[in-house]
Amino acid sequence: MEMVSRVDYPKVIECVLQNQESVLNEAAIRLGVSLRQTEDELTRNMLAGTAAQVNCVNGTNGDVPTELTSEDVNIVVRALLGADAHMFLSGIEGEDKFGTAPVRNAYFALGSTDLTSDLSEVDGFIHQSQYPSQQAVLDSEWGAVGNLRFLLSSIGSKELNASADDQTVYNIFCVAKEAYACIEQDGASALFIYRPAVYSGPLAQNVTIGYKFAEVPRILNDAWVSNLRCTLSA
Amino acid sequence: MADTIISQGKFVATGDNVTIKIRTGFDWLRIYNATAAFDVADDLGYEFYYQTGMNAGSVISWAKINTDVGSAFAYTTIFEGVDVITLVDTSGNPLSAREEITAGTDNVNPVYDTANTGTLIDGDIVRLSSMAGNANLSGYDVQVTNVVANTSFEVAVPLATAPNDAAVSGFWRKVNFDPMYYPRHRYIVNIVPDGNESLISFSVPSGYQAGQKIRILVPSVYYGMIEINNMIGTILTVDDTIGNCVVAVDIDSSSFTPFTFPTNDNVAFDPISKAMAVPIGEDTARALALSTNILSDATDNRGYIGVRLIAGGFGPAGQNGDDIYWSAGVSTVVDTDESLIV
Repeated sequence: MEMVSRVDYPKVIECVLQNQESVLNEAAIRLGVSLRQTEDELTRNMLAGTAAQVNCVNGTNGDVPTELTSEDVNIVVRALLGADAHMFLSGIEGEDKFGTAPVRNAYFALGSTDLTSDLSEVDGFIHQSQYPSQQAVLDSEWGAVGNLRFLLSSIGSKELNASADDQTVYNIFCVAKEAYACIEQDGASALFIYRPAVYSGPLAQNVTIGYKFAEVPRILNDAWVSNLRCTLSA
Repeated sequence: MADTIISQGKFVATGDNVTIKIRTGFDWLRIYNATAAFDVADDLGYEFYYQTGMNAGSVISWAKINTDVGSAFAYTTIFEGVDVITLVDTSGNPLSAREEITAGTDNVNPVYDTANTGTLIDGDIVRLSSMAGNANLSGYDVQVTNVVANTSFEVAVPLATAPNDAAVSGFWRKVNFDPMYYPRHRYIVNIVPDGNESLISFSVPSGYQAGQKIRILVPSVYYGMIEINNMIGTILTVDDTIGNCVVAVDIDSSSFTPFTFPTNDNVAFDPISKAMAVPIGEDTARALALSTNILSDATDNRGYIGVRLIAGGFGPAGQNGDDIYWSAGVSTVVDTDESLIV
């Protein structure tokens, strides 16, 4: 007679001990960037889909819209001034420094970093390094043309294959004070949520961190924002 | 948990393509056409499967033949390159690959010849570009009608005036979805006085609602009715049916210069901005009087992630009246580069 012994035992499939603090710190920093970029992208998409458009028409690349020119900037600035739109920034007074020039009071022009080369070719363009004072230069600022100061971002608005010649159209949102707003609801503004490992499962192995927010961007006065559309020079 | 189903649902097919919103995205998708599975007459597709890693537009499809009712499957096929399903993320690029236009007609509803209409159907939106002979329509999104498969399509909404030249070449791309935020600006192709009101036609359906207010921008003398530039009107009626895309607004334009659509020569030699309507708010009293939603002008993020299914006897969106069930899920691990193969 054969005796058969049967035993049962719990199986440990995997057990990993880890130090998550440094990873969490880095993740929190990246999530912060992600949160603010997401807000920017939503605002960008709202402006692209709903704001009034003005094509650049004074360039010479043969497309519609054309590349950006100072005449096109003047058209938009004139429209904003005509709507009694308030400028964001005061001018920067000229100083006796080599290679600098006074900067006008200005509206903001929000665009893509793809525009940097073309901006340098626009008549009257002043790179931010040529401002008489660096005190008022904003992080994303590239320079100024007339009464527009250009703030550029890699997530600036562009529409693929939207020009008459099938080229990418760049949306430059020329905005005045209180042209649009991001509206939040009480209790639903940006929340960073950290859950320690004790909440992750029976073995308390993993922590989580994330964010959530609910807000809606909306134009407050349509006459105080204009989407200046352009293509790149040939 | 692997293979967790995160969404499921059913719908009754209308015979048109169907888009399903799947909020959190998906790694796999199953579709069952219950009507087709028990149909006794025709060859029909009744089960479809997609998972991450398959070629764009492809599904594995199970079909039955005639009276092979309820059997496992009669044959299996993989649709590729015909966009049986299309993944949709409306925060991304809305355009399909471009197709060539080889000729066009010179009238208020231009007809464009193309050798490949793809999945285009009446009511779809296309973007025109590089239109030799019709530079005035380059860069416009237009609704199409009278699609003749792999032959031609017609611009659905009549222009105020003909382009004044016939297109000899150009390109079109299908526009798969609207910009994320509602209400959107729209391009104007015609304005006609109607008593003390004006009928404004757009190149695509506006989606506006009665009671909303819009600002009219007519930025060039080439459009004729320059007097209406920057005027604000309240929308009284909306007709977004194919070929109409028109709203009535409370602006009396009867004494204005007639609206014209710029000619090919106008735009080819003198770039201009487009005539457009910009939504700016709502007349609450008028909305109440018209029994419409007084908050319809609220800026609304209508973006979504989802999938568009093509209709037809062998398409996952089925035929008119079919009962269709679907489920979609996200997998914990997705290996598309054989990294898990030992």
